[in-house]
Amino acid sequence: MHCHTPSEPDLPFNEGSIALVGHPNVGKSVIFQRLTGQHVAIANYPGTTVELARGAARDLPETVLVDTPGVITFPPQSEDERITARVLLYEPLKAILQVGDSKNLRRTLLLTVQLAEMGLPLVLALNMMDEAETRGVVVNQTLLAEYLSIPVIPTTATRGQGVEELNLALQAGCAPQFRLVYPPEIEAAIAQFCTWLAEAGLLRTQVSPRALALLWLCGDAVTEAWLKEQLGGEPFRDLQALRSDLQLSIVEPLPVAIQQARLGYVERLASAVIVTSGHGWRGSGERLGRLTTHPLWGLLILASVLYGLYWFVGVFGAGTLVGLLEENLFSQVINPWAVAGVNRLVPFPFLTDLLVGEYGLWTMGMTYALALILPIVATFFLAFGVLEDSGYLPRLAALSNRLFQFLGLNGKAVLPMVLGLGCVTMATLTTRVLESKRERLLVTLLLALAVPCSAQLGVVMGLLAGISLAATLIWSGVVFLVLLAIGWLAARLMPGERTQLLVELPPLRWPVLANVVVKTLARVEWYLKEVVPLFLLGTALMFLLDKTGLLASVIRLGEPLVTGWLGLPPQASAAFLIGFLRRDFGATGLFVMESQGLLTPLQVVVAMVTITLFIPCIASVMMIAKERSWSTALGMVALITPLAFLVGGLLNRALLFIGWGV
Amino acid sequence: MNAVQLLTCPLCGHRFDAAGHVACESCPLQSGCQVVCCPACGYQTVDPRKSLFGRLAQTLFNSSRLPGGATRPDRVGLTLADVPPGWRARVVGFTDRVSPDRQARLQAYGLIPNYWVSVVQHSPVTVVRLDNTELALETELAGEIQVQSIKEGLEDENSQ
Repeated sequence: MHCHTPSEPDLPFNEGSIALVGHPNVGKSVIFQRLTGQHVAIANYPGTTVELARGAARDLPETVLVDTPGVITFPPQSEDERITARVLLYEPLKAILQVGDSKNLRRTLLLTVQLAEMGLPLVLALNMMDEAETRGVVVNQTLLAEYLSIPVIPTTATRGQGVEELNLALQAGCAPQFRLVYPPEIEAAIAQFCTWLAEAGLLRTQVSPRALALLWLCGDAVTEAWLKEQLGGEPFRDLQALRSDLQLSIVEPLPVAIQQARLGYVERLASAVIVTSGHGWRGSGERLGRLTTHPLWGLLILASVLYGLYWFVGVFGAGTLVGLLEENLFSQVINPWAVAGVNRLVPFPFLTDLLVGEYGLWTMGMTYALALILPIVATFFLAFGVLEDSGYLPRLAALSNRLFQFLGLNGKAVLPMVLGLGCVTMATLTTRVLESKRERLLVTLLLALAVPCSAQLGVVMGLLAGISLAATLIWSGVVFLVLLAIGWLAARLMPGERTQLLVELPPLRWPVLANVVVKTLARVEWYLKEVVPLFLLGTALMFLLDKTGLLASVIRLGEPLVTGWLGLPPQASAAFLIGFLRRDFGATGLFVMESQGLLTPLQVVVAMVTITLFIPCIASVMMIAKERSWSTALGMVALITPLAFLVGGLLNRALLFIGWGV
Repeated sequence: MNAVQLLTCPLCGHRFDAAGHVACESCPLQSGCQVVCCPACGYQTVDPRKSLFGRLAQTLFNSSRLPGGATRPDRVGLTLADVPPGWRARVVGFTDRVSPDRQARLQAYGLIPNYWVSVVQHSPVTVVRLDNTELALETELAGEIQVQSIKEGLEDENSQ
């Protein structure tokens, strides 16, 4: 696995930046928006900012704010938490702003203690005061600020309360004075560590040597990599010896012993400052929340959510909107106008063909991207944004845990899988929320193999719905079976153990419309940037193949496979060739063939199954290479492509045998 | 970050960590070898974490008696998985099958010794409440969290 290091290469060396750190789902991104006036480009899951968002602080001169992925505790465990740890080590920070959940003070303080040890100026924003008030939680903030010697600011970020005070506190910024004392053996090791670090002259990070020592003793991989890089062979081995010697003199594992000391302190602190801990769990949101994870009601709610999703994206997006845009706007208004315009202005037939011919950049590439894909993708991301902001997705993880257990995963894998129905490339990026390398690899494989993205789904559904319900059922049944079979097999062949599910269920909330819309727009923008160049490239390739007569040789070359094995007409070769670029683009080629009456229902189902199991698109292969490695990406292509043809050919024979759709 | 996975010797039943190759350390073919010797009796066992065929065989025959099939020791005492829905219990600690990292995470979520936890449900997964947090965890994981003095009712007692 290549560790992704987003913060090192492009450091803007300015006056210093401020990192927003906190648990998942406490409103870091909302505070970021309030402080910078910007919306985060990609915030993928409840509390999971997968890419780092940076923005200039509106009211703090020369300061960049960095929004980090949520972290439960240090040392980090999932890849996105590791990104946060890297920001703390590598970024030229001048302060940390911790965003905490005011109704879960103990948990918040456990992280505060760890951040305070880093020695950087620290401000604690106790966010979601409104929810705390509704539940009757009262905290003595003045006392807390005094104990911790840092500014503690109560905020309700969604309403903008407390943001002014935050700005003032960040401007004043001073390092916390308090110091938590660990058992003597650990303190001795910390002292030794600090001496060695001072001797090595290591001052390149703002994080205090004491905090580094504690991270090192807890076995943090990011600190380990950093120390190895900074110290080199001999001193690094000394540190390793220091840690293993210390472990020998302590009964509990080191991380547990260190955690115990912190928990003890946090408990004393919390009992001193919590005035009332609230009356807990009441209200309609709570009852609905319980129903969503109920074995029976949960499934019924899930079914209605899925039906709603299908209706909004499949019927409204792919049907109504695509119909309006493609048939009415593009076919009747824009394209005739463009064709006429280009023909009048451009005197060269080659160029006019390239722009508005049968395989024209505008008439095929852009029309497809804007009229067919855009409505589907936009409606999907809008629906996904609502699900995400309502806090339903973690409940889905709990509900689907059994299924993913069968695939050697846990319910958390449902998040990238559902997002994969929108865009597989984006979903590959979000596999970072999973805890082990093994899980990330398994989910990446399943995404690349058997999760059709919304663009693909739109084309496939449009095509299959025209045939019969049985065709749709065969297609979805075969794809789902392949997903289960390959997932099951891969999970058993890949070394390592499954991680058991552990996920927080945030309260169900009403999504804020403005946030959902902005997020959807940001995602659609990302998607179009990804998609349009590929469509244009694919169209240009088709155009060249057509013009140079190479299309005929491609068709001849692919004949044994496409005609002999899959039982499709020879022209389908071209569609599969384009399928390497984007599989939905290949599917569109087949769509055109079907509308010309070249395919029987059997051939349509076989072709759709084969193209669905294909590699999603060039962009997703690049993303796999970036997130995992090139060998993984190429290995997946080498595994998936023959598998797609194998399943397609077998299905062809099976359907011929039972005599379906001939 | 998984806990050490122990192999069980099919001949003598000794449980050992295959990673060190303790009994065959001096063997020149040891690095990359998919077979490991039992430190107690010397019997050669296939390490299924290294051997693709070993895992395949394990899958096909689906037997925990095959080399490497770690058997589950009996549970000790009351665990969170035993607390009926609608009841609460006080956390005592974790079994040694919970890795230190996992322990740190569970504690960060509030599953701390002497804390009261309320159980909401066990199916399809265990859902518990602590402080103002609702947490979903696999029932097998709940079975690794030791508790005592269970009571009926979901009220929060941590403030008392």
